[in-house]
Amino acid sequence: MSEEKKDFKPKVVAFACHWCGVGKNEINAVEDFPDFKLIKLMCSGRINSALILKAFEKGADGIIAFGCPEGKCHYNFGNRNAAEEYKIAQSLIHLLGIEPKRLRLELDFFSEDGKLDSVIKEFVGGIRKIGPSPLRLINENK
Amino acid sequence: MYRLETTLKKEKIKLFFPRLSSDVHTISRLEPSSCRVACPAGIQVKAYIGLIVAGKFQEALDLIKKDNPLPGICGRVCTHPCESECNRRKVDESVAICALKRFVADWELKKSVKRAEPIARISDEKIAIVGSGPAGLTCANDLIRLGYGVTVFEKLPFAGGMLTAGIPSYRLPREIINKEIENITDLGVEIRLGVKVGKDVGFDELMEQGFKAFFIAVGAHQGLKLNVPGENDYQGFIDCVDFLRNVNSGDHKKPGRKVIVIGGGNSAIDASRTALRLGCDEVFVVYRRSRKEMPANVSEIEEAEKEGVKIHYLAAPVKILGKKGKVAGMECIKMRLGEPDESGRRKPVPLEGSEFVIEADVIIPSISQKPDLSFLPKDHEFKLSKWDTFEVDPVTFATNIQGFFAGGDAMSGPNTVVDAIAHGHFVARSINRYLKHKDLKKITHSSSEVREWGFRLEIEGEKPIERNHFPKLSIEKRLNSFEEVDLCFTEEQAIAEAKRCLRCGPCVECQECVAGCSKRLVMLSFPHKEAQEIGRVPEFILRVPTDPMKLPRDKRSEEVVISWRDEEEKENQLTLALEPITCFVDKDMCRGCGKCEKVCEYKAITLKPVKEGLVVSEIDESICKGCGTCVAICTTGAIKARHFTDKRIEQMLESCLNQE
Repeated sequence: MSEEKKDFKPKVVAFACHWCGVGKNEINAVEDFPDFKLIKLMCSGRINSALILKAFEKGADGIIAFGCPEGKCHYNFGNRNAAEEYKIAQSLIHLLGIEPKRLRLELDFFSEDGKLDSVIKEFVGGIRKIGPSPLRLINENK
Repeated sequence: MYRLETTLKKEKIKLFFPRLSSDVHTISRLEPSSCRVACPAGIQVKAYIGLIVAGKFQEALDLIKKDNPLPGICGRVCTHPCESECNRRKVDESVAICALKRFVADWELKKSVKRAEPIARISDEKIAIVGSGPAGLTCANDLIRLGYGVTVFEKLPFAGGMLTAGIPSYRLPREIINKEIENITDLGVEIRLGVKVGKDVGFDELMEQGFKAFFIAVGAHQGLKLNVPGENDYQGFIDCVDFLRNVNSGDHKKPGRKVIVIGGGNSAIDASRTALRLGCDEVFVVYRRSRKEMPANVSEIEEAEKEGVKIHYLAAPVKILGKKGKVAGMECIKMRLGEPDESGRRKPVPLEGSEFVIEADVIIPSISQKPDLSFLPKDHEFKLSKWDTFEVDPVTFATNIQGFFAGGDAMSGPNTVVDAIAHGHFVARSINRYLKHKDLKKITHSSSEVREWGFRLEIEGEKPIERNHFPKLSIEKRLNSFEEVDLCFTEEQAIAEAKRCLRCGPCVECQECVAGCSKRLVMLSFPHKEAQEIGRVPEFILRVPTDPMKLPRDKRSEEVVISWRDEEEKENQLTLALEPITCFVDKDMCRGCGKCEKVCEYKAITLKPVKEGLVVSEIDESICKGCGTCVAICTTGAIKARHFTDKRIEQMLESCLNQE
């Protein structure tokens, strides 16, 4: 691991559904991981590929979205939308040269202790390994 | 709570607090009251009685006029099926609903009221209504309010149909009829008197003149024959309708010395009482069943007997006796009541050998009437029943010929005023749908279904209170004139009578709370779409939002001051405006598909027409709880939730990513 990567503080954006339990644990999660920026939405269905690309454009190193498990959406079909949009966004960021690992969709309930923490730890750890996003590097070099 | 530092250091933004707990109190009525259900026109009886108790007579009248454009007429001659269903009957006597309606109608007459302005015409279509009776007038009133051009054609030289031609002025003064017809013509309805459609002006001609729909409400003005021997042999027969029409047009000639009226309906009683007033010495009424089965109003029969009409119950004509070509009397036979027939009434059976003779020089048969169809061309294609009435679809009132509707007595045979008013409403609704090219069959209403709903109240510990009776003209004064017999309640009497109402169900539905709340906190809505479809017997929910956050947008400003210490231990303060999450519609993007309306759990979304053929959904933000379901279902992306617009999410992204 290079020097540069040790200093690297990944900027991770998390889109959280109001109902899946992330909302309740948010303060804990954010305090444990200072790099972790939480944006709360009413439903994961609100997330679309445009929003994901916007976040990458603005310099995010990784994006994780939380939603309720399949068939348990508060609005019936929100997480299905999210899954579809996630697929589209995956292929789009691949075209842009962004590693697919930087985008993740988690459809589960997170009300259990530690469940959310372990997911976030794993994800942020992964981003740390890959290093900063190529888009962010371009922006900074400018 | 949202993590403040992350988003707020960069710029001040409004914070939101999702509110998903219930903050709406509902005043719910599960079933409409039995009196309203019993009324064919669906008048909000309980509500206007509640308003009379409060002394709000004008509001009560306005409420009645929503369902019945002829309150003064109905208040006098209605057969008041509402009173028969009144739950107060389980305690003592029913509330005098009909008389209370008359009271408010008369109350308005006493003070000078500003005449109504003509209603602006919206659509080019013209509608012709044949017959100016209660059905025609109600239909005209409804259609003119929808913005159509309406012309009423009347054969007789006066408007009102059976109201004017059939009901004597001692029961229904002419001023009342004229006043209420005036109220309708003031709105822009044209009434052409003395025009016989079919003779003076043909249906084809009217179609050429641009009339798109026709409502045939000619009434039933032709008396039926008795079918007894001697009927066609002697002079002295006057048909009841002709007799009443002649008298009502001002011909006060005495028909004869002794008069027999045959029949037991209101028109028979009217004819007998009119004959007494014209100076006939003796008036008999012959009816084949007993008094209990008599279709005439009980109070009418009582008054007729007080005035001196002699009623022979359980008697039927056998033969007409004559002398020198003139009627001399009638042979009758006594009857007894047998088994009930199809109509549920007990069938009269003649008693052999009980014949008796009544002497008379005039016989007025008043057994039933049928429509006078002489106005129709000989080769017409209308489907008629065996009683010469028009056969129509029971729900839409459409005849077998497109564009032609029929209602009132012409459709049902001789019936009550309030039924005719109900027909007028139904036909107006059908014509509106017909002219808008909508499916007529979509009207899912059938009156018999609705009538089964009535609210039954459990009576417990109610004290009997004596019914108030309105004063009546003295018998001596009555017999020489056609002055009105029933006098009106005084104000105190009316309020005392209205107080007898048990107000079945928790809310009287007067809707005064909606009108009275200046902050628009009380709302009225239909909990079920079906109830709205059914039309004039809806359920009610009054929503009273008590949460200040749910106030109209300009009124809700709640500010919260948040303070925290930054890294240099300096005190920071920030004032935040709190705003609930609500959804709103981008009207330019909405295409009015209606998906959101169906999905909204809180009934906050309604479809509002903006212009011809275009509807746009509208969200009542004081009811919306910001659940976001409509945002998710909206196919065009027209609905957005406040605080979750693209711009706001971008702001959030930017502020958290640019932060070091």
